Amino acid sequence: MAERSVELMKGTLDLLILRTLDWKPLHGSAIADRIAQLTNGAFQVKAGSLFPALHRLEQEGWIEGEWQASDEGRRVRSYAITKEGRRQLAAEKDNWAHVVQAMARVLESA
Amino acid sequence: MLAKVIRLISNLFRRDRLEETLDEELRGYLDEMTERKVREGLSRAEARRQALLEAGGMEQVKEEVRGAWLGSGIESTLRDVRFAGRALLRSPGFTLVVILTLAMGIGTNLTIFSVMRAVLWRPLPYPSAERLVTVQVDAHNVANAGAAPGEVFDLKSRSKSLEDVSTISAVDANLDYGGEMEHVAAASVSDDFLPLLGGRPTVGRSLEARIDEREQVRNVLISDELWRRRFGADANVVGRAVRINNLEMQIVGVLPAGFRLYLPPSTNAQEVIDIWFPTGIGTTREHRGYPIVARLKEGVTQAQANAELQTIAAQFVRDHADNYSDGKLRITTHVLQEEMTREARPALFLLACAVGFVLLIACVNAANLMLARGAGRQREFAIRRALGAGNGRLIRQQLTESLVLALVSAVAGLVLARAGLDAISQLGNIHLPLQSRVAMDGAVAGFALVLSLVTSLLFGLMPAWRLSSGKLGDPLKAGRADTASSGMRRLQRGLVIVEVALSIVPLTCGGLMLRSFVKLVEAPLGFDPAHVLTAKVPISFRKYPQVEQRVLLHRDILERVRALPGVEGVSAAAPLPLAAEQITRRVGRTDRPGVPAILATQQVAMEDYLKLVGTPLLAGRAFTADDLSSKRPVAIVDDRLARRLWPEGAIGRRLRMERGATQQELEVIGVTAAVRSTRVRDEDMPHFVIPYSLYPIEMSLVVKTRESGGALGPAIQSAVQAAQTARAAFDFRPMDDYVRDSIGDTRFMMWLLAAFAAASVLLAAVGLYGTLAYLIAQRTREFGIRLALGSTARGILAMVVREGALLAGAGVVLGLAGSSAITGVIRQFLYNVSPFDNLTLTGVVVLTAAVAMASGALPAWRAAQIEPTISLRSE
Repeated sequence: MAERSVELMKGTLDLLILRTLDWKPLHGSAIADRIAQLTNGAFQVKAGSLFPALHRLEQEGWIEGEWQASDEGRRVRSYAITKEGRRQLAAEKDNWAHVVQAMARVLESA
Repeated sequence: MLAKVIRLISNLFRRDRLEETLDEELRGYLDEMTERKVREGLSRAEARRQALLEAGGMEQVKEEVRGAWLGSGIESTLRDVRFAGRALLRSPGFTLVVILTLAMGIGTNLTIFSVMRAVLWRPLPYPSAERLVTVQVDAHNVANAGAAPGEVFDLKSRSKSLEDVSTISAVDANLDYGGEMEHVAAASVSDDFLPLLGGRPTVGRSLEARIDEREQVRNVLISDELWRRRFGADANVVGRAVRINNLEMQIVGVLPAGFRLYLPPSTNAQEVIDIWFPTGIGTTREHRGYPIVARLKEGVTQAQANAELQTIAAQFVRDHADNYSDGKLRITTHVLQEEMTREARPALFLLACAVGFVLLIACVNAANLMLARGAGRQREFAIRRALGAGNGRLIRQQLTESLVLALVSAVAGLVLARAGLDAISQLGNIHLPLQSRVAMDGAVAGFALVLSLVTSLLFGLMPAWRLSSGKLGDPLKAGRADTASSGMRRLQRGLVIVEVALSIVPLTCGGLMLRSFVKLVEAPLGFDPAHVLTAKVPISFRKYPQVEQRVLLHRDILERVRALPGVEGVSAAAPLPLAAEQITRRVGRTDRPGVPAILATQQVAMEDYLKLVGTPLLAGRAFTADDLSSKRPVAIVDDRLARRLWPEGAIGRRLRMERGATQQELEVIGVTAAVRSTRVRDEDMPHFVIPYSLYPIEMSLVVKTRESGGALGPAIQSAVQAAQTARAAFDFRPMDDYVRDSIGDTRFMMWLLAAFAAASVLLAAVGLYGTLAYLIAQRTREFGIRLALGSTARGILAMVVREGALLAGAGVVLGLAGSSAITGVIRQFLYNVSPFDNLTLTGVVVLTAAVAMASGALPAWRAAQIEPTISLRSE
């Protein structure tokens, strides 16, 4: 089930990551933890989706990775959202709201 | 945007740092996950295993991340190309065979493409060339009879849809300058002709408009080539007086270098014209034969122009009823380039089909080789898949290999095409319009690139898909990793059948053309061109205005030439049979005026001509010296004309010959064997000869020589000069040449189709051999078992031979069916050969069978040599 929902959420994974980092800079596993926590475990983001997404967002210039020490003293690559990333997040939020509205209309009309 | 470019560049060049970062990041992630599992109470080893399992394999994750990096496409393509290069170099034999195969396919296609581009597609080098048209006039029941001057004159003023209506006639000019006489190609053109084709003088001025045709020509334009050759590119040449055709003329300008005339062959205009005479357009409708060239006005369609011209034609018939006795006149426009290349189009189409087949065979061949090689690489693919490469990735890798092969082949193909074009230009006169424009250029290179992309997909996609769809791990498990599945073997056998079938079509075409060519060479011409040297001998009509004078002059020339050592006999006639320009007349019986006239070629001759060229006289007598001197109205008809007009016997009958609106009656005094005058393949055009004195045109000497007689030229030239013709003899050619030229188009088709046929047979043989050898290698174990169980080597041999014969047989049957479909296209190029010619088809089958046997023999022999113990132990 979890596998399937991740598959479905592929397009919106970027949005989830940006939203998470908007709160504060985090490293890979912490981002996955945070997403799971926020969605009450509905989305278990695996390494195979998480890291490609992070690198893609970084290449787009929406987030920026930096080597830091984690809370446990481990050397981790922590990602922070950039100014452009915030703009992108706002745009995607808007877009998402539209999609939700439209979907809701379709589903209710049926 | 800029940031992205910078990142792209840094990605490409700081790849190692990117990789390090990723590696460390993922390792950190894995450690953390492991740590969590340990805290949940698992052993460290178990925790690690589960963490890896959940992540889905580090290599797979890395591969996914790499795909997200900017420039990953470039990066991995480069990697693929490098890898492909290494993989191909590991099996140089395979690589070489594939490249040669594809180069042959691509090279033949590039050759034909170069020709087609120059002939059919590349616009003529004239302003608004797409609007240039020729105007065809059909009159007196003759299609494309040419225009009468009066028609050109009226069209010029009346047509609203055409502009620059102009006409040209090709003439010869004798240039007498600085003590040297030279015969050059010349043309008389109406005033709009050169502006129409953008021929603006670079030195001096244009020819001036002249309408009165009686005014003597005094001004000429010369070509840049003549200017450099004879006048040392002197800028002061304008205004200089030269003698042309014994008249004082003035050079008024020089045309640009490389100005060429590309007109339909019916105009007889050569591409390079050295002297341009201005000519007025008369108003007569008594004679016709002038070509018209014009340009459609901007925005006027061809249909509109044709409609307007038909209206004008109706007016002509109404206003000049006397000149259009049958009340019919048809005037139509034809796009210049299409008109020029109309006759070449079907031939080029057929050649394009043939090379298409060669390319298909080459692709099938390459595909088969790829399959065979790929089967041996299944283990490699399986390992790579286990290491994280997806199906898409593997297919891409293989397609990259195909593309690398195809690109290298395309380069080799370009070299082959260059050689092919050189070979074509060695074929002599092949009647290919615009042949001088055939060249390899950017478009050809572009087409080579397109071809290599297309072929790489054609031969690469199927094997790539086929080889990548295997199940993960299967080939890794079994020891017998290299055995192809039975499905694969079926596929390979199918491909061989297709290949043989495909090769049958070009082979049949080549065979049929070869037979036609042989028949043309053996065709009875009605004369014997061996050891006959010919030369055109113009004479000054001003110096010899009377016909009697000209007859005497020619007798004098003949006497002088006859006296030369090495000459066995000499006479003169015009036009020579199979020369480009023939005179056609409408003829009939005088006693049947109502019966529609038939077309026949007319030749004029001095006495002794028929005997000299060996035309057999079947009945009656030849011309006598008296026939010529007294201008007796007599004719010698050939067998075909005699049979058609007087099946009961022609001698003594009266022939009615129409010349424009006038008629002439001739007494038939002799019948000769059929003479082929227009083209060797035209068997049905009747021919007749009249004495020179009845129609004194420029004559050709025919000199029967001992040996080859090629060295006689200068001696003949001085003999002619000594007779005071005031003109230089020119165009010294053996009579064989005319025959050669006449079948040049068939020779061209024959050589090309034969070459393509040879290429396809060779490719099919390579394919058959390769596949049989491979299939047998695959079955070594099976043969070993069979031998161990009591089969004889002979039995194995028979089995393999049977297999080869079966494949070839199926291919032949399929191919014959296919070639029966295409023979409809080739029919028009054949001469006295049916498209279903038994001899050719038998030859094709026998040759294919022989090739199949030969290519199967070696693998079969190898199979029979298998040692059971070794083959069984080999795995």
